[in-house]
Amino acid sequence: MTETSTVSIASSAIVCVEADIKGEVIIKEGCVVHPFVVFDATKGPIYVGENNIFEEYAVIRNNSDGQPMIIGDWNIFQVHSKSSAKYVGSRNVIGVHAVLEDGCSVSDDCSVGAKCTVFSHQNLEPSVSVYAATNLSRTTKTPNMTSPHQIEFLRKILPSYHHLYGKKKAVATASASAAQ
Amino acid sequence: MSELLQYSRIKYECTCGKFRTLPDLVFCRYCFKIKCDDCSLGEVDNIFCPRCLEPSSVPEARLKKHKCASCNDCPKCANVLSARTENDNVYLVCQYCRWSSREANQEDQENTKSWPTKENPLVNQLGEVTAYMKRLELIENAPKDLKKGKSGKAWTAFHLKDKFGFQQMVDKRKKALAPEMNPVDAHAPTEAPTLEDEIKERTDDLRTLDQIIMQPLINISEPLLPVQVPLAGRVQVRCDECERTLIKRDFGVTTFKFKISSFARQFVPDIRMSRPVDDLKVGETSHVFLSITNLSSSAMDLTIAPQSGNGFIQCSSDPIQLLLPSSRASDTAAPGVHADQSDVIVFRQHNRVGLRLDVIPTEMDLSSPCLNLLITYCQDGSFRLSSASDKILKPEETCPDPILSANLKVDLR
Ligand SMILES: [Zn+2]
Ligand SMILES: [Zn+2]
Ligand SMILES: [Zn+2]
Ligand SMILES: [Zn+2]
Repeated sequence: MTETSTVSIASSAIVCVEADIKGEVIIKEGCVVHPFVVFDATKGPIYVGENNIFEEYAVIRNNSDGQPMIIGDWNIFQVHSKSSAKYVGSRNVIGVHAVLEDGCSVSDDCSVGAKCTVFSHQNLEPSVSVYAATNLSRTTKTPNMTSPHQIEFLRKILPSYHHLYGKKKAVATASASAAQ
Repeated sequence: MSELLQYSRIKYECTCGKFRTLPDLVFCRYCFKIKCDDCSLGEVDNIFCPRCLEPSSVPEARLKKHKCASCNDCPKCANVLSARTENDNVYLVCQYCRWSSREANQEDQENTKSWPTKENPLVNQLGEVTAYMKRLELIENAPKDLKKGKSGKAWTAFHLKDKFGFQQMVDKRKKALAPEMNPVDAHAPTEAPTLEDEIKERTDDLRTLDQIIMQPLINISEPLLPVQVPLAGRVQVRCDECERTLIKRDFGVTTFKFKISSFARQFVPDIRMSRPVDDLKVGETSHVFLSITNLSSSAMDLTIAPQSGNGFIQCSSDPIQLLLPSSRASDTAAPGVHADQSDVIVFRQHNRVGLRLDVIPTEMDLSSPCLNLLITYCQDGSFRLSSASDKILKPEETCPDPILSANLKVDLR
């Protein structure tokens, strides 16, 4: 293993083996990464906080030149969403097929509706909702419902039906350290 | 679907002379005519909510102002609102744009039913005016009705069903035999708001036209309310000549089955383009590939005659006669010309035949090339038999079906 491809996954995080993780990626406690999620940190590191859910085919790609990409806690990246945002805060919901363009940033409690785009020059204030085909945005008083039940359920159920990334890696690092 | 199957490219001529795609046409077996939406009668046979599928009777729907009491749409993005419970009370939330009824300064309710809506502030005044106009109408019509000998007795059982609110009208007429005339006060004119006023009162969020149309009564200074879902009607189709039902769906709104269905597909040959047409060049012969399917329950004698001129593309192929077996007898070998014996017939497959027609476009055709075909077809008589199954036919009555013909427009673009 080279220095640039260090994947660090916390012990309580559930990362399916089908996830495609490249480069320096840190995933903290309690996160759930479904199969076929892509973390592409070949151009810069990706730091993921606690208790985030990454659904199937979500793509998290750092397109900056060496700048770290930071994702906070309790976010949900739904199916087929694409994120190249330099910063995503906490408790956000990124909808199905939503796109966060290069260099944009999302603060806390935001929601990006299905198929909506946050453009690269945009910095979403707290509690902003992006919706409709024309990417209307407004500040909302309604909080996102990120219930802890969903992530707890996923953490419990996923290991029974999927091979986990951590397990495979653990075996690989064990054999690597034995060879040293 | 019709785009996928390329139905939209071929238009059939209806009995009334209009051109429609085959799925839009119905067929009356009794009149033996093709009918389109313009020459048939539509009739609402069921009123229901498109969200919760709860059916309503006509008076019930009128009472509810044709809106569902329990379903609400988001006033911002028109998605479905879902209910969230908090402290035994519910409020409505849009999962898509995160609008909630709390943003409209609405108190949480005990249940999702009858969410408050904006009523017309002038509703009482309007009612008074309409009542007054009705009384005027009565007085004006009274001498005419007397002359005609109509004295309110001519009401039939049809009206007693009160499907269209006639009973109410009758009652009102009876009551209003000697209507009193109290002229309604004219609505006092109010000052029209100036542009400055409107700008001052306006909230920060501008509304789209769709949002305003969903709730036209709400002023720009007031917050938007949850939109009650308008009810939808299901239509049954009748023939305009014999008034027999041609299309009627099964009871219940959740079913997609038909009780009576008499679509033109079941009778008319189904003609489609089987391959896209190559680029048309002036003076050069191009091929148009058609597939013709007999979906009816009896064998069909069909003649296809290409028509030229009158703004249609020149077709050099001769008229072709085909005998198509029914879809039921599809495993018996098809009689008639075999594929390898004809230039025109490309393939033969059970109840389906592929044709190749040659067209020579001129300069004028290129902008909107259109091929005109005259089809003449005739079933072997079993169709008429099945339509007359409610009476016993004498042997001499079992004649072949009448010959029908229709023009076809094939869009070659
Ligand atoms: Zn018609
Ligand atoms: Zn409803
Ligand atoms: Zn909404
Ligand atoms: Zn008829």
